[in-house]
Amino acid sequence: MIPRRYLTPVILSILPALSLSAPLSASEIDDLKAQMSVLMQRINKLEEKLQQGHQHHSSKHPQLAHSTHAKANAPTAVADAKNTPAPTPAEPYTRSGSDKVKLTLSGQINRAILFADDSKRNRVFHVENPTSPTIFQLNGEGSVNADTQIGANLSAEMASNPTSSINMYNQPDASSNAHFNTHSVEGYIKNVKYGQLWLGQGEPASFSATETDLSGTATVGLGPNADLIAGGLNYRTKSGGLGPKIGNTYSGMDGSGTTNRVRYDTPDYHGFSAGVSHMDGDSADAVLRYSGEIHKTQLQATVSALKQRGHYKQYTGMVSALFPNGLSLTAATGLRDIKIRGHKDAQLVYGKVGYLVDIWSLGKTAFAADMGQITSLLVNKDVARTYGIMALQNIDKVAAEVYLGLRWYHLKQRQAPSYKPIVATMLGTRIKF
Amino acid sequence: MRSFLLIAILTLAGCNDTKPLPYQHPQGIKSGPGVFSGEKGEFVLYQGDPFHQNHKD
Repeated sequence: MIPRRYLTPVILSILPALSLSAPLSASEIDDLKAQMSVLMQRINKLEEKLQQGHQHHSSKHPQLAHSTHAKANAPTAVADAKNTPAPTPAEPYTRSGSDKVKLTLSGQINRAILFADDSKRNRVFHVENPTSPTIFQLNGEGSVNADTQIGANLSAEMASNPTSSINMYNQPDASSNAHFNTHSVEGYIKNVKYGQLWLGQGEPASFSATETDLSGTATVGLGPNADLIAGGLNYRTKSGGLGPKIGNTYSGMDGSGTTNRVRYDTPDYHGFSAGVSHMDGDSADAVLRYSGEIHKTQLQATVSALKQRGHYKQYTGMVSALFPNGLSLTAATGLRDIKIRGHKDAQLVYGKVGYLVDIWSLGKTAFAADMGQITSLLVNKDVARTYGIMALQNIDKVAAEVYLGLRWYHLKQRQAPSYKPIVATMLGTRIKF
Repeated sequence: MRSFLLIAILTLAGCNDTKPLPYQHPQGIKSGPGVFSGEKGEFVLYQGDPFHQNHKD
């Protein structure tokens, strides 16, 4: 800003220059005078404001004087604020070349302490809980019209020391046992009337076929998928010999993991929806889902079929109900037709009882107990069983869950020495950021 | 399996007091708000005006 004392010489020095460049008419001179008058008024106003600002600043100390001054000047300040033009909105940090898209970032962490005892040794592990893994996702979506969107997902799991790769011996350093796994790299188109079509790496239709669990404890006990809690641990024989891993002898028969595929899901029709996908390696799956509320009871059900070409065909059914009083019941069954000559079909049965309650203002508290059994998965007539009790506390204010689960694993094989049970206790937290 | 499915569909179709709910996917990112991202549970890094208007419709 030019100080007032310098303004007049400046204007006087400009005027001769203007007069040299072109002769001015009387009306033009009048216009210039009028403009100067307006400018001088504005300068006067600005100087007054500046003076008021100095007074306000100098009266900051003592505090009492400052508050009195502020109160006294409050109407003036309001008036000034009204006269001052509204500030222009700040430019966004991220800018796009198109104004027809939306880009979002979301994610969570899920970390736990796992205490495991295989009847010969015990150990504490600091693990990634893969029931709902640490993940971040970028989603970009553009709107073709009100009913149709086209988008893309990029998501990656950061699995540091996942439970599937732990063991009692030769445990690698947790920091070197970290994996950056691609979860999805896919594009999609969705329409309100016609459903959604995905192309690329991502979740096939049967991905969560046996995860239909309304107990509220899925983070520490994902339906029949109990192998996720301590899948890397080996059974021990009575003499201390090393047996098979939990993850090789027990399976919740969940659908295929994320893979390269093309997938189509129908729109929701009164709670029903269906999906099919074709995967890399000429595998395919299909799923039918229901999700709704009947007489204030929440109900979810899923049936699925999966063909892993050259390996097996698998059929599952699962249903979960959450009653108005907080009680929940969950059941699942599955059959896997393994493509090995002479190998019997593997069969899964699973049941869970839960209770969801509002004890305090933190958030809902969930308790559950479950049992699962699978036969003939690794070898004919082997029986792998698991029992679990679990509790989960939601902490709504910080979008977190804290959970504790205790689980027993048993394995019986006809033509092998009997194995000792494995006990695993998991204490962890999932936080959405 | 087929008969189970048929019975389930007929039972659900026969109920009057029903309403569809969004399917919960426990293995996915936790539903609901986020500790940093707030109510929406996701950071909106960019959102164009026409997109916003379309979704308002």
